[in-house]
Amino acid sequence: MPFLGEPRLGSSPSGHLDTLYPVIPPFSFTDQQHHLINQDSLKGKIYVADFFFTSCPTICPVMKSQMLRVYEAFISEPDLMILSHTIDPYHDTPDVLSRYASDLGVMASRWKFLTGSRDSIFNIAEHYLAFANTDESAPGGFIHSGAFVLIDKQKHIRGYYIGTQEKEVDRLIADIKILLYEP
Amino acid sequence: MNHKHPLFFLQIIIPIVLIFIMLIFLPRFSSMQKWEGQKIYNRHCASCHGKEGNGLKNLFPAIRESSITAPQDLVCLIRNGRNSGSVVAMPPNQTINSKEMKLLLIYLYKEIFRISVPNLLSEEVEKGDAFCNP
Ligand code: HEC
Repeated sequence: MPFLGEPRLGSSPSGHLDTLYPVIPPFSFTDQQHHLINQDSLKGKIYVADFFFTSCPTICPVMKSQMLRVYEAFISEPDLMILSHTIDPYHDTPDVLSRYASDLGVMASRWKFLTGSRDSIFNIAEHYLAFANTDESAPGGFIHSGAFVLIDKQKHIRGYYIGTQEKEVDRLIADIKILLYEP
Repeated sequence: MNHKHPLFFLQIIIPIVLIFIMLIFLPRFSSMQKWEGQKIYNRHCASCHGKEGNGLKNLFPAIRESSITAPQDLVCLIRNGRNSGSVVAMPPNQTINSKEMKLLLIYLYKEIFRISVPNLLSEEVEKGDAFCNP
């Protein structure tokens, strides 16, 4: 499976000059159970990330019904996590996210709904090659990408999928099966 | 002697042709109506309630089994939105015009609720809009 993002030259862990692909930088967010989630929480796991907000009237419900397919396909696979970041942290507190997750019927151990400072969320979105921002003219007040982004155990971006399209999500499910076997 | 005008046969032929044309176009008209209604439903409602109205778990209700089916109530609900305490709300919609509203309701009755379309639907939709617009 390919590596995505703009590569640069640098020295590899073994000290050789190598093309290095971007990695997701360290982060720290709060999940729907008020637990702190950072990269240590994801050690040895691959994960799918997306961006949404609970009061989003347009694409988010469709993204969530598609992500639910991913969740259900790997319900007994502890090495896959899902991270859904809210881009509306003022409204989407951990308690709101907790009710949202439980109405969706999903377990916090597998699917984290994350909130944090708005700047840190908008900033991490860029690293995922997704975009998120406020926009008064958009329904709900935000614009954001509907992408699902697949991250490997070394925090590299390995896949990018349109989260509202069934075919794309089928491709994601197939790619996860492959990526789970990578060291 | 029975004198008939030479074009007498047209008196019979023309109505028959007209009825024939109507029979051809009537089903087309109603399937066009369905198609229009479906477009409106997909644009404004399907993201939350699903293309078939099955909803999404406990987050968005399955409107196939909607408890609200009276036309005026539906217009009010769609115009004003609703939040009876759940974590997500149904947002108000003022962008659907009244012609689209009628086509949407016909689609809801026929394809989603699968019940008969109420009588005097146009009047009911107008009343709903008159009483419910904030
Ligand atoms: C942003 C998501 C969203 C959209 C878009 C949306 N709804 Fe809803 N709808 C909801 C939610 C949430 C509820 C439950 C509200 C409550 O009672 O708290 C609801 C409730 C309903 C109900 C009542 C169901 C029942 O049994 O009580 C009907 C009928 C309905 N919606 C129809 C529609 C129609 C028609 C449209 C399109 C014009 C639409 N909705 C658009 C989210 C949405």
